[in-house]
Amino acid sequence: MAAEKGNASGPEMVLWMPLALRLQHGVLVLSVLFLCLSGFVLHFHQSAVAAFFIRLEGGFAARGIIHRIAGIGMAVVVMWHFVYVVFTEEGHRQLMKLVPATKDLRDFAAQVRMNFGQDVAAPELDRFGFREKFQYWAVAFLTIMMIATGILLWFGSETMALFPKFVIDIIRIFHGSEATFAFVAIFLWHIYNVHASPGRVTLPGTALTGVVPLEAVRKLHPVEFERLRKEREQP
Amino acid sequence: MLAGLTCLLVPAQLPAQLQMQKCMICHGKRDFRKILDSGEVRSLYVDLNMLQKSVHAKRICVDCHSDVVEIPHAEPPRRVSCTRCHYKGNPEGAPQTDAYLDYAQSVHAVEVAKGNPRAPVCQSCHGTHDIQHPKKPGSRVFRAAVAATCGSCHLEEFAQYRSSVHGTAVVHGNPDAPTCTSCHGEHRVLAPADPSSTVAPAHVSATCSTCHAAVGIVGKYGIDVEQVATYQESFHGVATKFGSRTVANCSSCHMTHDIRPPEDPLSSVNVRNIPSTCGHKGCHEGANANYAKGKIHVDPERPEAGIIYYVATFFKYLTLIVMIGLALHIALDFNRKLQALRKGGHE
Repeated sequence: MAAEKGNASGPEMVLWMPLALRLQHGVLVLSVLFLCLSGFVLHFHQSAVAAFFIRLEGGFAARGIIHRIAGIGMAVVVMWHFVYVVFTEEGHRQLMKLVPATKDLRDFAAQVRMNFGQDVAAPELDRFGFREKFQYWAVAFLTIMMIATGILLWFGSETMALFPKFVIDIIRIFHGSEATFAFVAIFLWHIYNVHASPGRVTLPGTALTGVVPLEAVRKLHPVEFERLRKEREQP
Repeated sequence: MLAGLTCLLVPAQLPAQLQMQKCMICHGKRDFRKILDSGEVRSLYVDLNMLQKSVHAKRICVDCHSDVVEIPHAEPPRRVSCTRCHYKGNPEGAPQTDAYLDYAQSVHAVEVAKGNPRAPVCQSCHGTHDIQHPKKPGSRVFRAAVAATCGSCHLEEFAQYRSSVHGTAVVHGNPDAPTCTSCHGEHRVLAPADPSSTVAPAHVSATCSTCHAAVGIVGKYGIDVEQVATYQESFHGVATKFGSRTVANCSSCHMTHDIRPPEDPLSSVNVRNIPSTCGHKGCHEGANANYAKGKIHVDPERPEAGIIYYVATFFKYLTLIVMIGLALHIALDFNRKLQALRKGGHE
């Protein structure tokens, strides 16, 4: 994440999210949006909103098609991302920075104590702090589970023939409940921490442009900032 | 005087019994019959005794057979139309209902209008000279007799219904169990393919629910009302609610006329028969014994659902706790940053 973009007329920016990741993120956002719109109408079918959306989507059968297409989109993103973080240099370097470490636990503890008013120093974060790592691995796990349960539900007749019937009941409940949980988590966690929290590192357009202010990096990810500074000083 | 009695016309002023005696000269003979062109033998015998025990005891022949004015009959008498008297506001004192209006909308009436000679009119079900009040055991449309009446045309359905759990209960005098009219309606009977029918695919579960969702009705027989609610919560139920025509409704699995309890080895929902019921052509083809392993009607919010209940409950609390936790985190984080901003401080 070393490429820099200097901007003479404004605050200095640094590339935080390369194009490949921005594209993946964009497809993921679209997939999640359509998955939610077509999925929650089933999980919360009692609500009048559900009836409204199903009508909007073109009826029950159409809803199913939309959900499956969006699901395929999500699966494509996952596979694309996997290839990116395993087989590209840039991606792999970043993946290695995401590996959880004991420092993250210490940082989390420090942050909690700070939030409750204790006089402790703010944790000094690398490119990925404990928040980012937790979110990445939680989302990775949740997404894989959703895709797996989704495929088993899509081919429901075959699933029921392979396993006792109560297994698909569990999968069905799991799929809808986990979706609700993930939705809550995405909204209250990701949207807040990455897109809405005051003093965060991202700008409103970062998901599209990929850049963040260098000053924000200095404040929030000082370890990464140091690394960038050292790279700049080297000829 | 005798000459006057044998004259061709039947004056209305003559006492009723005398008028009827004219008809009974021929129609009172047991072997009085007509052989039709098709070779079919139609009896024209009228049992006066039976008529006098029926609700029309005070009526005379020409009250209904109004087109008969001379003997021998110039034309074969037309089929009697009961609406001659049985309409709202009739001066005869005949029972008034809107039943015939309902009937007019039914598939039976449509068939009659098409000229189907086998389609039923009032007398086909209620009888002719033997009509009793529907609440009396002798009536053809008495609760316990309805199935046999409908079954005189709908033979196969009757045969299936007779040995079903509903059929046997009705015959034993059970006032709650359904007979044909309970599900199909009395006069406004519509074909299952008609979208307005009580037994159209979209309406089947509502029809079954009228009893099976009422604790006061099926609770007496140890049948759990959760069956309806669980269906409505299931994928099949939700799909039906939102307009799907292909997913299962109650009758897809439980069948229609030969409904039997699951313990009955002939039941379509007996454990051994479930694979073939689910694996019906166009449904889950390839269904095997695994389909029967586990409760079919499952309510995830009841502990009876076993592990499914625990998974659902786990997620419910997990989501709630995380939601509250994250909301708290946002509040604390916001607060902290606001404080820092007020202090004009750095972070």
